[in-house]
Amino acid sequence: MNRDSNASIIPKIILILGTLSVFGIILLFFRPRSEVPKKRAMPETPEELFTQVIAAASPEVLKLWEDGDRMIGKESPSCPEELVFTSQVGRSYYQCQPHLWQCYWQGGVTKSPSIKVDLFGQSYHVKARAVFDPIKSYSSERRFYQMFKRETPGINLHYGYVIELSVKEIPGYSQPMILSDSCRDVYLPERIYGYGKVNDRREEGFVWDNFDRRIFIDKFYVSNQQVNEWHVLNKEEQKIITDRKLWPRPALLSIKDQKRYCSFLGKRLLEAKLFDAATMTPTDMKNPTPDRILRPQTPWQRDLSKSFLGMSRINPDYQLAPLDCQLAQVKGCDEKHFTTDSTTWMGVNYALGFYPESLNNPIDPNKNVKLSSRFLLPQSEWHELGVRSSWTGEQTKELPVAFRCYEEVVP
Amino acid sequence: MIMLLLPFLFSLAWGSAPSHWSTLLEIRERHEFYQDNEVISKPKGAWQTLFAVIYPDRALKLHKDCVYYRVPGELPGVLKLKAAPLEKSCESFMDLPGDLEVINLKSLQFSFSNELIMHFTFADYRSLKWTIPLMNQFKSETPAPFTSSAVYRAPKLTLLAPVRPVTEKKEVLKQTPNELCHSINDECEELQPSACHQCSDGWYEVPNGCQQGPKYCGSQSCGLKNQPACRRGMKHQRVRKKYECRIDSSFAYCAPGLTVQCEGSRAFCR
Repeated sequence: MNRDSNASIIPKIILILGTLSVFGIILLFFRPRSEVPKKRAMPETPEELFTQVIAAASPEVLKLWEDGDRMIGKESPSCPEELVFTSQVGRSYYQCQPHLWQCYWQGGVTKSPSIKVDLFGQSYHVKARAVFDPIKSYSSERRFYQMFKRETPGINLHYGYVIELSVKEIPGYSQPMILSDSCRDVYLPERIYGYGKVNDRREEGFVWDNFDRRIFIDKFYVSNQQVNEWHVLNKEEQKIITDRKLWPRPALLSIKDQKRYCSFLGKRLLEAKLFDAATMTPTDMKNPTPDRILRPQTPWQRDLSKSFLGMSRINPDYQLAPLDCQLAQVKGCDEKHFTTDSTTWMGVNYALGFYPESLNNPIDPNKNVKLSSRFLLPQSEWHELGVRSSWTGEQTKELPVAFRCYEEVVP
Repeated sequence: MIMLLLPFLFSLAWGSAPSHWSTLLEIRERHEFYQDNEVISKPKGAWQTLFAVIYPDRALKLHKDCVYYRVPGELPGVLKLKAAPLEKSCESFMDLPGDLEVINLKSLQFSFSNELIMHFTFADYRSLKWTIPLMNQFKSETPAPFTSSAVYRAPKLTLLAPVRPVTEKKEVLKQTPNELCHSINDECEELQPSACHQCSDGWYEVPNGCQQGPKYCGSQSCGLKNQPACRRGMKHQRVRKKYECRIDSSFAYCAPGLTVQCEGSRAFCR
């Protein structure tokens, strides 16, 4: 009986195994296969080869431009005419920094600067060319870049930097191109925002929205180095600040010149309501049209009393910790520039502390300066979001006022 | 000098698009009859102007190349590129020798979308394709968080052509302060697409209760006496409706002591 049943099972097993084998073979056809990269044919002409080498080098060119700070190791680059390295200056200063670009290609970072590209089984070395006129106020060296302000239609950039690249192994060709200032500003998401401080939490105060607007706000204060570029483009080189140590510091211009500077680049002086939008962290990031718009008192803590600023108000002997100074540089903190520890929810820096900041304010024209700064003790009541004072528009030693720009792009 | 002229030298068998076309700003003078991807077969044996391409050089000056085609007939087809002054029509240069020619063509198709695509088939049945991005077709999506304006407006790297020894009339930006650069009427209709990116010192808007209001070149502080009102938006009210300036001007605001006054549907501060 058993033997019979065993005999009847064997063909079934064979059938099952056979079916599985066929199924397995079919599956093999559909298995994910690692793609074998198509070997590209070597271009027929040197011009085509040059074009392909430049295209292959582009990501590295951009990396050098946008993340130039990564090249700065333990040993500081040596280009005293372009940059002075100090621990007071954060790495963001070196991103999209034309002086670092100049320094790199002049040999201040590495002795033989080049971007190596491996293509068609050969190595090519891409180099920038010093084909632009020297800027005498900086140095007598020919430049590896030229800043431009657009004067003709076409390219949709108000300003940028023209560079020119060549390939060592393919002489006789060069490729000019534009590097844009992609590190400067940051997008303000579209949503309903609140302006200023409200006396009663139940009050809505002034609310507004920026739907269908493309608004971009400078991440940092406009620096002396950036204002120098404005002077170069305006052929006002006598106005250039030549002390390299001062270049990363905020530019201290009159309100009239602040507006002129921003307008020159197709931008506008930052508005108070935009400053509030950029610094007051929304309660519900996912809902751009919330029913209630709350006004946090600091960018990092809704309630000021729970922050070091609130504690300082209660305890005048409060000892500032290093983290406190990173969030808001107040009196008692070391001076640092281009730091990113105070970055707000949408990407700007310096919401509280650091420098007094000029703000255009059509809602309350007399409240045109954020006073919270490194010149005021941490217990000062000016250290709070939405709190502003009045500024005459002229710089004084007692009240140095920084500024930044914003830009609105028509969609 | 050789370096500058090399891209423009005559070529019999050009493998890829001319390198000075690496960034094309726009297409002008497009042939009125030929459709995208149509095989051009008429009129046989005659030269036709297909289109002109505009591109910037190293000094950011604009240049124009006219693109002509001799339609295959008794003789094989020829594509001819000829640099021409910006302000002059390509028709005037059709009979002159080209700066670059692609010869022995059996057929040619071209199309424009986000890029210019030209597809050649030679008499010996070899084929060749040129694909060149068009800068004015650079489509900006709604920016992602932390996007910069430069990335929103244009590619991070824009290739330029070397300086060319061609005389041309320089095109200049719209610079007249207060010149209308984005025409929107009171019914929110866009009469002219925005050219505000061409304003040399920025632009300002007169809010009119529309998604986009009319815009002018120059800088004006909104909200002050006799100036345009400031835009406040149309969603903070949390009511879906069309804003009629005289009835509800909550889409705009003025400095304290001033009131929003409407000229048509445009809001000013008085």
